Amino acid sequence: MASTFICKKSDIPQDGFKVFDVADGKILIANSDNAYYGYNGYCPHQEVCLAEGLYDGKVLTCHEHLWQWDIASGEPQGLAEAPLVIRPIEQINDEIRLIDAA
Amino acid sequence: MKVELIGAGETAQVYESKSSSRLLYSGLKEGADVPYECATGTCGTCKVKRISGEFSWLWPEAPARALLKSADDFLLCQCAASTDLKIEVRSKLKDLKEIAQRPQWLTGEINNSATVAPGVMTFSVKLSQPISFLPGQFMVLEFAGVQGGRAWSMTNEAKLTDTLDFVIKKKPQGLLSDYLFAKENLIGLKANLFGPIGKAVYDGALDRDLVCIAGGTGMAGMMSILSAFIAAGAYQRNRADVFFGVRTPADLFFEQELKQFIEQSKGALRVIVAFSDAAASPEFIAANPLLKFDQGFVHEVAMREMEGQFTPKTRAYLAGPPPLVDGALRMLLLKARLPATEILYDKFG
Repeated sequence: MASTFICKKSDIPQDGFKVFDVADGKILIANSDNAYYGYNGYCPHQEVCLAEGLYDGKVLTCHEHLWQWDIASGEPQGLAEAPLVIRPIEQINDEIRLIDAA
Repeated sequence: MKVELIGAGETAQVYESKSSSRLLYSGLKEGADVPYECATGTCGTCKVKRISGEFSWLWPEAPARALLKSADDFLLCQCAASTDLKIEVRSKLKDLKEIAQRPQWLTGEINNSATVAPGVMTFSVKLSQPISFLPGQFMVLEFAGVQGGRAWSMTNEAKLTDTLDFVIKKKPQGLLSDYLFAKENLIGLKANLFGPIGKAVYDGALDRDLVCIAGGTGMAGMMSILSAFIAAGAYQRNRADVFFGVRTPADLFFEQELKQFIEQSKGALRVIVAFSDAAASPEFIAANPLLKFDQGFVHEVAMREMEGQFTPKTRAYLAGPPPLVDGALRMLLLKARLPATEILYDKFG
């Protein structure tokens, strides 16, 4: 399975997240209870970059119109009408890598 | 022209718009669920994507145009239809036909104005016909000879009225505020107004405890909300905590109106004024016994004062400069754990 390096695990704070540039846009990597999740870095509502989003370790909130998602599933909560777009990632040693599209 | 909106979840709506009309305003007039917040080209919330048809820009320099990613993206508030249009909207389109007062173009004339603090002015517009609006809503005002409109919230509240009260701040490079502040006498000045619009509204029948956090003239909509809170008798079952941020004691305005609300509320309303740049003198505090004073950024003062007092019935209203709204949002969501559905604001920046 081919994959692309995104960041080291230590780059993501405990129960925090960061947004990184990738070839086709941005990817959001979040940590929650020591698990890592990868999503498209843009809000599915108005395509706002989620780097300034609000996150409590479980729920991510877009700062623009308060759409919210469960970080473990990407499913919408509250005002949100669409899920986050999952970007498949893998963990190899201390690296988080984006699995390349087939 | 026929405008067809295609929303998420297989929703669709159709409305008519003239080639000279802003696509947002035409949609709002016809009751379409067009996305918007500022309605004046700065926030980008009305961004949509063309599926087919042609549009033209009425204000190509609109600040929010910088947020667009492709030539097919455009702002409903700053564009007009050149042909029939089919447009993608990235939210589900809801049926808004139950709205009591659809927004419309109105004419009016300023019949009253006053300077209430340095660089802050109130004025009233007498409309050619009465309208109803919801506390917290705003109008877009245009004046002959000044390009574009500005959105200002009403400070008054009434079921049906032909008078709208506003408070405005003199803004650096603000074309319209420069124009109004430069005039010696505003009485008789004619205005075109579009509205009422805005979704951060309050209904006095609602069983909610209010937390209002406002900076400067962001207090406008809060005054309308508090007026409704008193007029509807909501103070008999709910409380309201109001946090009003200004730079210095000299910048404070609406103190008489706020004192009147406090007296009428019979203890249910608390107003805390937060000064960011200078503390209130003992004389100033003594002269305003009904108001409380604190120092710091208003959203930080609000969180300090409200710690442990948020309840499942709390509803927050926010208004003011973007750093204030962003800071308050962060605290209300992450510390106070308020649900997003109970935090209301309209973004203007």
